[in-house]
Amino acid sequence: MPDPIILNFSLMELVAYVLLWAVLGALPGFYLFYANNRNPRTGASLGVVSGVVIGWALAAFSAELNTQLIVNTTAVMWLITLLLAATMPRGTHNVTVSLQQRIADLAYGLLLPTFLIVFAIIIFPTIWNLVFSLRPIKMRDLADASIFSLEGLTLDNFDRVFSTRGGQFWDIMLTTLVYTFFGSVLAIFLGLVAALVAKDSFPGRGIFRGFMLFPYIAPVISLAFIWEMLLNSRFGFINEIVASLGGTRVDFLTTPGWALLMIILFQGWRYFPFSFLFILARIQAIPDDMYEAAKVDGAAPSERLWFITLPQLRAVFGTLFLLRFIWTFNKFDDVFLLTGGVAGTEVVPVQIYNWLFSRQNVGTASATAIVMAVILFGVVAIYFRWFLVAEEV
Amino acid sequence: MTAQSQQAPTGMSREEFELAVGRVVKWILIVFFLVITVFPFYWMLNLAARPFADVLQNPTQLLPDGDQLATIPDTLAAIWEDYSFKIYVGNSLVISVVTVLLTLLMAVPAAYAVTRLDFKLKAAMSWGILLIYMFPAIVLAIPLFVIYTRLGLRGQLFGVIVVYMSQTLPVSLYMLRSYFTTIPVDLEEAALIDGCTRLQTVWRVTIPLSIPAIVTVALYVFMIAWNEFLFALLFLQSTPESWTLPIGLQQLNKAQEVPITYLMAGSLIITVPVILLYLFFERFLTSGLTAGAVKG
Repeated sequence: MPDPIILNFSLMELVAYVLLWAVLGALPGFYLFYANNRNPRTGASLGVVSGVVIGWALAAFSAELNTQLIVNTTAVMWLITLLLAATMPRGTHNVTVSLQQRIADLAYGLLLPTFLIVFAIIIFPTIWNLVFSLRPIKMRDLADASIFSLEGLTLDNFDRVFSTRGGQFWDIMLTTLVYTFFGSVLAIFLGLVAALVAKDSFPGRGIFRGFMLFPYIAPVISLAFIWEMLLNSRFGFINEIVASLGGTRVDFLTTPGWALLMIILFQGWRYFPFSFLFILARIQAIPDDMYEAAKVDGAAPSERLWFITLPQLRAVFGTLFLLRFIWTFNKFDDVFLLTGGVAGTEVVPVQIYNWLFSRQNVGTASATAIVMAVILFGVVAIYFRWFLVAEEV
Repeated sequence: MTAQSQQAPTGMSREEFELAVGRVVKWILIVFFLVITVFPFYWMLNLAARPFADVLQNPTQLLPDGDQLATIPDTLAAIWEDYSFKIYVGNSLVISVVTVLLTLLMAVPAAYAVTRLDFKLKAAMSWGILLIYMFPAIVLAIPLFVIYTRLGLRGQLFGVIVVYMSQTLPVSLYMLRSYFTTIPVDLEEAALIDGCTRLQTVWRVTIPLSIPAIVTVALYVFMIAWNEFLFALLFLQSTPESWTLPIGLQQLNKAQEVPITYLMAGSLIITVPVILLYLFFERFLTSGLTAGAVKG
């Protein structure tokens, strides 16, 4: 006999749980009323109320939060809703409200599931990340329900981010910025060269273009493996070539300096196809007249490239750099799989992972994630300002 | 031609000279790019075919001999059975296919609403899509890890599928929206006048006309889910029976004594389906990419 008094939930956990049921209840309520030509907003409100009741009841009578329980009761709830939908008399909602209102209702109905997912997986966790970063939570606390509470807020985690291990955070941030900047630039540069090669037709151009995408679409895990094999100091193809040219074998992925260069090269290699396609599309949109006119004026091919093609690509470079910068800055898998963050290649996302799993410190991992997001936002804001000014000139 | 005729007749004009140099440079670059994009994949096959002892002896042997190539099926069979790759392939397929179906089920109606229907939050939606597209995954990872642990969702394929949906929905919405705007409104209005409801119109007019875009979105979502590493690592690491291919392969690598031949064969199993899918649908995919399909 379960204890009817809620003992196992913290207050925040209970609120979150009931909120989840409220949203789950709103969905069938909305659709049920819409299908029966009644006001779907009333249906959604009723759904919220019944969802809160169900959520509260389940929370009160269950010993632990349990996925199976959620799945089962959701199924029952939707079944009841279907039955109700079949038996409920049709209303007259469509005669009483404006067409505009009905169209808006439909739009919200079509968007509700997407909203729900975005709320549950993006907005809700982000808020909790903020809370966790302000609380001293360790991995072992996950067994305890008090993890979702607002008590004992402190800035210790942020202190730890910046202070422990001799201010290493800024070293890691610098590594991240170097990796991000040069990785992005290299990806765009290689993309530009490949696009210039592919812009005029040559035999096998279609196949060439097809092959260019390989590094981009393949799973990162196998790409990291094959790089490890090629760079291996005992039997790696690259090291064999180095040795046959009279050089000494290098452990590229574990030697400081080389390792950072390798993750930058990997970044440039894996993502140049992305810039390649964008730049190629833009190059092909440059009108032929411009080249013809320049030719008539006596401009050589190199001058046409320098004075026509490249200036025309400036906006694409700007956009590509922004996108690549943001995505590289947040990138975890590439570095984690290639070097694991050793030999001076620890970037912030890898550090966050290490806080979480090596040092089992959830709070400090969250704080690092917040700091990372804020710095990224700052850099992007500066870039936007600088970029917009540059475009006006 | 005009430029050339203006040049002095002696020797090569600058135009001709640069064009000649350009041709040579161009072919050197073509070879360079082909080598860097194709060779690593070929090398994967090469290392999967040759026994490790042979690799150590002849690290640069470019072609495996016939006997060695004949061992590939045995190697594949070994990792399929002995290293549970059949389970990982199954998990990866379930996750990818279900993610594709659910994402489409949500993204198509939502994209229609954003394109064709008027409502108050419409402008905010476009910004929201962009913002989520840029959102750092690692910021979501920690709280989701905690929430999943508390809900008992860790180790369950469903938990990963929901996260993949949240990662692919904004992009799918964006791509479908830009395609829907190219469909003439007249066609839909004709259907509405003929007595179709809005939803019937979507089903009978909009969706059939958007098959190319829907195929593109489906392929991208499939590839993202098939390749994804971070969330699968976080949520599935501790439950081997729900490992996806990338996690299975990474864990195989962590177990020291596994031969490199097996690792490379595993890499082939995970890479070949994606490459085949790409080669088969290349046209769809390259156009989708410039529409902003994949982040990463």
